[in-house]
Amino acid sequence: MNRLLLYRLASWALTLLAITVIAFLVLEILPGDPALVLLGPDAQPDTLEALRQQLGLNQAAVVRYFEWMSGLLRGDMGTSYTYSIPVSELIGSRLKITIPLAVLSTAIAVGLALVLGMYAAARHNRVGDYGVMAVTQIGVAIPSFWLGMLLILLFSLTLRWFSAGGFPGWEAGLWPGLRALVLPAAALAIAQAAVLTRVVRASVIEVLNQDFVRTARAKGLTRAQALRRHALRNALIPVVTVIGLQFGHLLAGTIVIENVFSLPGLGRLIFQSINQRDLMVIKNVVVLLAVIVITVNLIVDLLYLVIDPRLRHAS
Amino acid sequence: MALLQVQDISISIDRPEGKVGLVRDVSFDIQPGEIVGMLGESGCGKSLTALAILGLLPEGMTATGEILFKGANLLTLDEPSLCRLRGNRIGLIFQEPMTTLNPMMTIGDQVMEPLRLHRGLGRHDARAEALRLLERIRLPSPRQKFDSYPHQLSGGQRQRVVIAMAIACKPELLIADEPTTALDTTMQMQILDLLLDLTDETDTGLLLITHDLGVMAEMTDRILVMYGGSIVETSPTADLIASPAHPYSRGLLRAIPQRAPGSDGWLEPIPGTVPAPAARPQGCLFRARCPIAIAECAAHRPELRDILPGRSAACWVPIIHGRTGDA
Repeated sequence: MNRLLLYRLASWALTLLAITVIAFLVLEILPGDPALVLLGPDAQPDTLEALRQQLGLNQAAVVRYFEWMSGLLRGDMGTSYTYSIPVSELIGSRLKITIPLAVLSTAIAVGLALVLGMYAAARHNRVGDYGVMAVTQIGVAIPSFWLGMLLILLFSLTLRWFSAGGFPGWEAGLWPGLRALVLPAAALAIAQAAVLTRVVRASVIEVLNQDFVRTARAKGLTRAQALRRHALRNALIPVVTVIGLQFGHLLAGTIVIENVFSLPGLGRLIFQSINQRDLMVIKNVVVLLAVIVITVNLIVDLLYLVIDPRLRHAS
Repeated sequence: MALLQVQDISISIDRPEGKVGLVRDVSFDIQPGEIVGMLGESGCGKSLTALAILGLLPEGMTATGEILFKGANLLTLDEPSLCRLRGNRIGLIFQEPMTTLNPMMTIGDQVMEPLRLHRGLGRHDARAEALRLLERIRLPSPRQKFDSYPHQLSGGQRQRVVIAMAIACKPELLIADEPTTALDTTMQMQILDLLLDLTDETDTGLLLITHDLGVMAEMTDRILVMYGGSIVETSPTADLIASPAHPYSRGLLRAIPQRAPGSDGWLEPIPGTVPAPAARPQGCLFRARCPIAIAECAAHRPELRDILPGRSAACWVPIIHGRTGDA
């Protein structure tokens, strides 16, 4: 097997382990007593003590960490303090919104970035290039929650094309579900697309100056054919890298954007859980988000091997 | 009719401070089956002239003049027509085999590309034809190399692949820009032999660009010597080697190990450097480095003119039969 692959898998597992430790420690240090939040400030000391006992909060930290870990390995994430249902069930239902939202948003960002970036590269140092660069400058600067509100104002309140928020559930069908995700996905995608457009542009410009693109032209390929057949694949590596890195930002962005659009997704869950000191939910969601991010980056590393034959043969 | 007729080609680059001339009034022609060498040091405009013939000058550079390929002016031809000529009737071989192949595409796909593009071959036929080409250019175990990537080949093998791509559609004109510079000496001779065979077989005209006079002497029928963006001498190869007419040509010959006529074993460098395109002086560009310059050389730039039958030089005091004559 490829050594690069083995190395990546090992580092994936180590990163995951480190994340569980950090997530656990941060929540240990964080002030706030879940029992107090659940019972309210007027609770009797003995009732509080009984609840702490029941939740297992009285045990030593090390013991609780290993209990959590062994639960995770069995697929048991514990029970939510506030919802009183298994955390895994809670997360599962929320993922059905957040994952499609993130994927849709990435698709919009990548699509926009490839088109605009290649266009700008093909028109390097001409009006079209300057135009695209100016637009991306604005795109980078706009906060996604504000853009989300503008999109609601225009497309929901004025044009009435999309609903202003909420989610009908996938039971209502694919299209109504997607429809509810289009605006929040677009709001998230713009900033990502802006950054990615710049990466695509810079990368394509660099590749277009390579000798083999000139060779392609000397063979009789048109400028566009040379760009498509020879430059694009070579330009993809930095682009794929940035897509992977952006995916983490995207997930963080869902916390804000799901609140703007009142979507019952993972981001909204973590926001509410923090407010309610629902430690059981928080630590598991944090670990899950981390797993998603490092897995996406693992996939990016594997994609390098697919894209670049030189890496495939080097081992 | 000449295969290629280049007439008064000048190439300039747009700079913020204005146009800077890089190549000035270059004229020459190539007959079918003829091998013409273009000689000169780096930056003298050899490669630019080659790129201009194919309409592939880098952005910001423009060429003026006339480039007639079988009577059609390539400089006024539209882009689709040029695309049909490139790689099809005019083949181009670049100098750096390390970077001229796409690192992410198999050898086979790259050799098949011109065949599919210009001859409309399907994948199956293109594969068969590409394999024939790879055999013809004597790539070892072509079937196995077909699905390899460039990084799995040696420099010489890559250069063979580059040649295979250039000759895939049996071009009438082949332009080879330093085809052997990056290779070791034995590989150099093999590649040059290959080029000679190919042009012999098909009556292809070859423009061979190099700064290696040894290669020139072995290969070419006629030599164009370029200096500072202009042709300073054009002579049949044997004549030029025996008695260079331009002092720059003579300087180049004397700077070659072994070949220097009447040398005492020491190489004789040409003193000084080539003036930069933006700082080209009035008069002859070679004047400051020339051992036989006269007053006229500083005042007026000599144009290329006939000095003997079949030979011309841009010099006020060309060396004719080894002797400086006033003209």
